[in-house]
Amino acid sequence: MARVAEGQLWICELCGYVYDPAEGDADGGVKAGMAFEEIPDDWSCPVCGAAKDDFSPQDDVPL
Amino acid sequence: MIAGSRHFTALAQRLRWDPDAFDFEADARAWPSLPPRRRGRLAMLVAGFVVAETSVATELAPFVPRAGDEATRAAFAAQRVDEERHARVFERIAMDVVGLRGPAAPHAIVPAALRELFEQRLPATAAALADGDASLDEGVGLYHMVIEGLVLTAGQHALLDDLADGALPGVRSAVELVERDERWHVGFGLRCLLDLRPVPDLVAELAGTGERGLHAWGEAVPAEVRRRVEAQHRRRLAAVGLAGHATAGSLA
Repeated sequence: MARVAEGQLWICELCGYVYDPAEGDADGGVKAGMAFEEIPDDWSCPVCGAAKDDFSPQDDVPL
Repeated sequence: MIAGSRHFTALAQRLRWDPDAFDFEADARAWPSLPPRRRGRLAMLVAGFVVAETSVATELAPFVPRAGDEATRAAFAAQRVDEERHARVFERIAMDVVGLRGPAAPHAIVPAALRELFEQRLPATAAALADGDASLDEGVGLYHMVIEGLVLTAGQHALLDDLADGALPGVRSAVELVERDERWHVGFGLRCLLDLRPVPDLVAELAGTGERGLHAWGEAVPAEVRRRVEAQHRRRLAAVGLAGHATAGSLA
């Protein structure tokens, strides 16, 4: 389950969703390849709706 | 992508709170001065959560042994502790603020569809899970995606929106903590579904549930809240590749 990411992963501290820049978030208007820092500030977690500020950097997907 | 089960067990430990620590005295004093119509709507929501949280705390038990590994069993067990906490805090709000005394009082004002969901449908699914007549992904689909991701989330948003003016500060603080817990429960449910690889029919049913799952609250949940919660439901399924194709399924 854990893996080394090609770009910096970010995890939603509230629901466990992991933003992977390699995947992006198509329904949220975020194209694949976009680094988390480049996502607009009004973007929200696709799973729980949390704000971008509720994410923190994560080296691997936590088990 | 979603974190693994160990992450959720650790998260539950960090987020733990005490349902008996809230002081609802100011809320109880403020309650009689609220307009009758607002009190009626809030009472229905609180009563709904008494019925719902009591049910989900009980009916989660058969999920634990059906999990395929120890880490997932531990996360289900941690979630059950959360649900018992939620049941306790809503029981306190119902009695101490709303004045719904005795176990029968909340049931009397809860919409019939909500009672059917929590007193018949969820117990039947949990019993089938315990007997081996239902699969874990069916159980998680109903419990985590429909009940928690749609029905309970909508009720929590309705309460938080209504109480945004600070009319009942203790109640709002308690609901904020319940809603925060609910977010990891839904994330954990998604993790389970991804691991269980549900059949396409179940995925399609989940994707097609949406608005139908929210009518259980009747008029207690405003249409704007239902739309918001339904949109989030669709977005979360799509984000993890469980969007499927909507059909007239039976999950709601």
